[in-house]
Amino acid sequence: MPLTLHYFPLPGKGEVSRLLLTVGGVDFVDKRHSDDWPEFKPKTPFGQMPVLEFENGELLAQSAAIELYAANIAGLIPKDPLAASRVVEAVNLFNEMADPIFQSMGIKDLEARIAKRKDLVATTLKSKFQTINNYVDNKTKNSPFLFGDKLTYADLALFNMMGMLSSGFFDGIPLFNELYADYPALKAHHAQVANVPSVKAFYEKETDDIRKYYRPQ
Amino acid sequence: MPLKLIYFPLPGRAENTRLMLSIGNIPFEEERISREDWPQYKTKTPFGQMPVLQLEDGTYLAQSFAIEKLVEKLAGLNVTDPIQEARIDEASYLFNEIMELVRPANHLPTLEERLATRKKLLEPLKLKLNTVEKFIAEKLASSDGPYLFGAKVTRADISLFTWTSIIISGFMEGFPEDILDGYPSILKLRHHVASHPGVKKFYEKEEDPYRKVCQSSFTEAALQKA
Repeated sequence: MPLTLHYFPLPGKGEVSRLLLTVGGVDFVDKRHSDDWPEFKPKTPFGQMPVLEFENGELLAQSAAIELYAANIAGLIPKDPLAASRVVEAVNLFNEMADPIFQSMGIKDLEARIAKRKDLVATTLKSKFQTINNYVDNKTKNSPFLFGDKLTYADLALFNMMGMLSSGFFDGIPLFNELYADYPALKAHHAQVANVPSVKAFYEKETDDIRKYYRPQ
Repeated sequence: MPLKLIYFPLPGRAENTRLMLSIGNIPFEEERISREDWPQYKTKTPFGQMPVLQLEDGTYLAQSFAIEKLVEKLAGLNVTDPIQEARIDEASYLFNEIMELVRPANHLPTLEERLATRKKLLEPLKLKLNTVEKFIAEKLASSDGPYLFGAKVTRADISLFTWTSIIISGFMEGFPEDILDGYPSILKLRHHVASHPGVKKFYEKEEDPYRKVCQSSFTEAALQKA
């Protein structure tokens, strides 16, 4: 059977793997579960998705493990140990952009959650964005992507994070143009990735609202 | 210049790296920064966070997962097969979920708040440990050595050891010291890691009370009791 990525329809923790395999030209089935999730859940190692199903039917769990494997087989992470660690360093830095979301997810009351998120946007998230904008600015002074002329796992991780945060999916977090208004390096990087032919083609086939900021803006 | 690891004195997010460097006999220095001194060091780091690893050329590598990925290779603990590497990553990130689960309590300003939050986290923590126990039991049953993936220790074994040590070390006030007693496979793997010569060598030099649970005498006693 073919390599299959199992996840929900939304970008979330599956999108970077989808993009890695797509950009890398690796044949895979992009299986999206909704109503059949309760039936599939007990078949997964830890009752969670994403899982990557290998050709022999075995399942690999944990989005970070799946991404590293996908990056590996797609040729989107360097082989050199230090160069690879620099990419992982960037990916983990970008993942921290989602921290304020996780910190506010437990707030049940909608208004309180929105208020908390607005506060986080003005404080924690602002400081994170500034750090990351500086980092991206430095890395892209002489190249279109973070680690040279070619896209790597790190570029896709940032691209997904930017698209997911600004999608409107998280109440209280502004949409793309407002969220990234003060971060020109982030916006420039987003445009670079969105215009990569295989990335653009992927999003031309997507019709949902949640992916609207995964296209050139 | 030699490798230099910069972090707080406690195990936290640097211990996996310390242990791997010790196991691999890689010479390294440590700079352990106290909470009081941290604010002045913050601006010297790439992203205002620790741990950072200062490399031989003087540059800094940040983000504990990135540091661990590099050190894993320097110490000769990595594997070359992509699927095997993915399995080690899968296990490591599963165990990391233990730390993610208990995070909400860590930075609460008062002891009362931390105790109250940890009390609520106890049930979810036990459910997570149930999953981890089952995973480890299966892996050890099919392993041809004392570790998850055979005769050689991996970053995954070390991660399990470090995160569970932190939970029972007393550092996280409110979590009972005997919380691991119902998890024999976890205790068994803990003891195998604690008994590794490279790990023993590291803890021989450590005196702080939070690392008491990392001694092989402690892990052995825990295994006997269970």
